[in-house]
Amino acid sequence: MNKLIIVLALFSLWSCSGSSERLPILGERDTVKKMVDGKEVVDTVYHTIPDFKFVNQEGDTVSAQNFNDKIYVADFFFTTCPTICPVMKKQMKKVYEKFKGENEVAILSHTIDPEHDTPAVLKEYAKDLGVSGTQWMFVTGNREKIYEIGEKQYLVVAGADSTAPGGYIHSGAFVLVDKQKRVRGMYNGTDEAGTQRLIADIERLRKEYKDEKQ
Amino acid sequence: MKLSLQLASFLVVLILACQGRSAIKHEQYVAEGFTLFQTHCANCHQRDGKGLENLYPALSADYLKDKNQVICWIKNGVHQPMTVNGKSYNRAMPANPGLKELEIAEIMTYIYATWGKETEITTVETVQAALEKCPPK
Repeated sequence: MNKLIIVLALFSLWSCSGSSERLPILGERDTVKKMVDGKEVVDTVYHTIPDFKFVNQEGDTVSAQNFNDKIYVADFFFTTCPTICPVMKKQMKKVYEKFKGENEVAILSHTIDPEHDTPAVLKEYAKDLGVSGTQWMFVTGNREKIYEIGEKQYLVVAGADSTAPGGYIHSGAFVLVDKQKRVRGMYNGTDEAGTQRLIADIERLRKEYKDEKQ
Repeated sequence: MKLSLQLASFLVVLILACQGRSAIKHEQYVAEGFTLFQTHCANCHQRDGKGLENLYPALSADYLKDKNQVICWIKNGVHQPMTVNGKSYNRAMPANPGLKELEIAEIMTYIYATWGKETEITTVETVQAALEKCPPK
């Protein structure tokens, strides 16, 4: 009997470690009941990033469709920010260098100062940061829409605050979004440990998709 | 002869004591300057002073060549393009109007000790004199 318990305990440990290889799905979730083959089943509906419309550093309109079938990292910044943004951009550059040229991985940086950060300003910023092409998109657009998607969808703080240095307050988080547009992780974009954890989790997510295909 | 020997040894002791005192003051300035640098400068110029790509210049010898100018930059910011090590940078540096002269002296001492290999402090008097001659904003 004791042996059986040990075996069961070991088995449950093994199964847990197996499932922990998958990244958690973050955000509020809902359940819906639906009928399948005459039986009622419960389905979980996860929080997903809805469609959006912004303009990138090339002046092109960008929507959620541009990120179809892509794992992407989202963050919020502004080009004249004297506080955490330069640190975040230095860290994000490491993510960019790591996955440069990988079609499956993208980066989406939203400015929270769209009046100043026009597509031309963003393009020059990207160039000075050593970023070419559009694997890493820097987007601008309607201020309210940017703040709204930041707070309600990516679950980070973004907004104007006259008391903050540079005039805006925002989170230093990097948000990892999967191919189904579900939030799979939040990382501290201002330190090396957070950045390395993000890079590792992107690899884990890519492996999840690769394993599913097989 | 005996007197001059005594005098000489007295002088040696005096010099050592003074050096000791100024070395301690230097260390204090560097320590305070380090903390202030982390708060006011390191976000852009980075903790290692290497700057960030073509966005923010490194605190290299070329950047640090004119102390009076650096003092003005720290206080008033930079609002025109500059060339460092042959690269052009055209992003504005914000002013730090809240920094006191002593704090600027401490930041200067830290910067020049770390990237200029200097062992002398930048004095408050040096900062005051430089600030009086800053170009108008």
